[in-house]
Amino acid sequence: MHDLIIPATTLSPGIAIGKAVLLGPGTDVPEKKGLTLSERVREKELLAAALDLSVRELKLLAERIGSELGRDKAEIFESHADILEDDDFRHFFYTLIDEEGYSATFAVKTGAEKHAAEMEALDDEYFRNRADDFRDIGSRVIAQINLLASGVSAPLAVSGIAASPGEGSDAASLRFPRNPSIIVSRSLSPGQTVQFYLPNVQGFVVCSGGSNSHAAILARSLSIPAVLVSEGNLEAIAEGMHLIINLERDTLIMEPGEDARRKAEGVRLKETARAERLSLFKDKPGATRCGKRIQLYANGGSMKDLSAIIGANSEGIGLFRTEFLFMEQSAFPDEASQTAFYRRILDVMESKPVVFRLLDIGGDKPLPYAPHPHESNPFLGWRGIRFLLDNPDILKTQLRSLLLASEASGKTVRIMVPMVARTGEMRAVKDMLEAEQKKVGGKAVLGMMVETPAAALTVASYAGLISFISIGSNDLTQYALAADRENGHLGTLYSEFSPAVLFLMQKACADAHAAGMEAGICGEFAGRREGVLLLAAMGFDELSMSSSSIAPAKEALSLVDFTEIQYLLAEALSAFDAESVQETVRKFLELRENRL
Amino acid sequence: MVEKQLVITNPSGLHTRPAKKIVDEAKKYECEITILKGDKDGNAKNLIKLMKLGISPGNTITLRCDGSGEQEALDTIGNIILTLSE
Repeated sequence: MHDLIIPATTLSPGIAIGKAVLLGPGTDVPEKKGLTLSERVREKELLAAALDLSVRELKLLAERIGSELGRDKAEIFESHADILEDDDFRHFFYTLIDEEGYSATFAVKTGAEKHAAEMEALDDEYFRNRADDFRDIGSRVIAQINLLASGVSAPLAVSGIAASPGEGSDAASLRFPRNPSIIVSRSLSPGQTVQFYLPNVQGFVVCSGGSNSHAAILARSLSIPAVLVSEGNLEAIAEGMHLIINLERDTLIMEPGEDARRKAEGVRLKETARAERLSLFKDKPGATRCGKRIQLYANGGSMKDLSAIIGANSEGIGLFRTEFLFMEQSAFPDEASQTAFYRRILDVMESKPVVFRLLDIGGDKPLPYAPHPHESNPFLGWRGIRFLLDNPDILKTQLRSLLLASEASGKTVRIMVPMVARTGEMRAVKDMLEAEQKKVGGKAVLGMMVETPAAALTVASYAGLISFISIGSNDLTQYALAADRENGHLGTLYSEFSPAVLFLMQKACADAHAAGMEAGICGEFAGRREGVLLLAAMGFDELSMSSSSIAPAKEALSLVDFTEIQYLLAEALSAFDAESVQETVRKFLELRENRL
Repeated sequence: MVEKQLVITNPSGLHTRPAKKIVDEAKKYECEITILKGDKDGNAKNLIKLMKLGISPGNTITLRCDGSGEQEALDTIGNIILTLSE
């Protein structure tokens, strides 16, 4: 047997093995119009009853799923009920029956498709993905109409999630797959995704709906692997065919051989065990085995990141990139807009600290409405604080907005200045901040992002100007090694594990502590488990990373004692190159993991 | 007629659930209530029209109220938009 490997896009991560179960296209709706007046009356009665039943059904589902799987997973059903209850939404169906003589089912299909098509035309991917919601709502109502018309009373008693009614007969026969199965369908409605939340459903393969579709979101929150493939490949899958999702990331294997299946089974068991281990760390603080605390913060840039940050139980935000707010606009956002935005973030994070990084733009990431001059070396050019000090109005508005948000929320804002290379830059920001503070109030703590080797080497001279530093390890690495991380010719030259980079980080951290400043780090290095150990050994107070890295970081810390990672760091700093450092740390970690 | 500009800061923008909150409140007022985003506008009393504006986090919108009770509507709905949490 050959392994037929086809490319796929992962919608929900994880590996899955099972036999294909094909899900039919759903209820077919005949195109029926030009009904007589009396038929129209009958169709309108059917529609009214079906709409009400559908709303009740959705509310029951929401209630049930809310109590069994959590409130957040029930939200989709609540919002579908909201849409179905909307008078204008309903009115359009009635118009089609009254004026065009459509049958009830054809009116719903036409109306739902019209709304779906309009949503698909929107710019925002999130909203485009809502198109399937309208189709899903439509299918639900159509199924309900068909049930009513056939004289079968609607099955309103929702006896369990698996037995959700109104999904059509195809779904009904699939309610309890007997063997490990992978559901193959053109698209999956949220109702279907939840319906298949059963032990034997291992994964989903679809050919429509992006990573923000409800089906993808639900699959992720239920931890069921899901991939998107092309329409042609989907059609090539036959009922009962063996499938493996994501043995190699972003692939689907059709008809895998014995070897691939055995390998996949092994990987899957390991993944499951790891996921279970990691989930135990969610509510624990970050600490070494011997109990030394290291705060693990999350990085964020948009309001959308906040739910993941809160979900990961992060202790704070160590880097909030304010560029997002500026990039989404057609002009520089004014004080009121900025204040409202910062205020929301402070409110959502409650008592947890939030570090706002001032607008960090430059030649490589210009704003659409603020043309940036051409620079032959944008990474060494007019960026970060250099740009802001030359545009004092922009800087002043941002500082004032942060202070106003602090004043309004009663919380301290932590403000971080990007791309500092000279103390004079930091002094200028501090002076402006203090002048504005006298006018608008608010509590602020000022810090410096350490990206330039110049800043890393002279942290002590910033004493009195700042209260904290945070290493931007991505830029610090590229400046220390004079290596562009995107340049394919440079191979592995760009590496945070380089002893030179580690020395800079260690010195900055030690000098910060000696000057009474807090020391943190917010680059990608902080999210790598090997990095976490070295940084913890250096004595960093806080590591900020993407929220999905927090649990793995906690696990890595829990495996080690502070003394032994200090020896590890000493060894790393005396190594000849980045490769040997990385290998040493990797082996150190692997040895401790294997003891689990 | 009164109006003001607002920045959308809740995590998901004006998708179904947050939009529903606005519609429920807007329906309590007699005046015409319109939300404008760029060159598009929608009646704030109509859920579907509001959703179709595709208002995302970070967008600036204009809330416009015209008619009886306009100032109160502007204040109340403006406040709802600014305090959305979903």
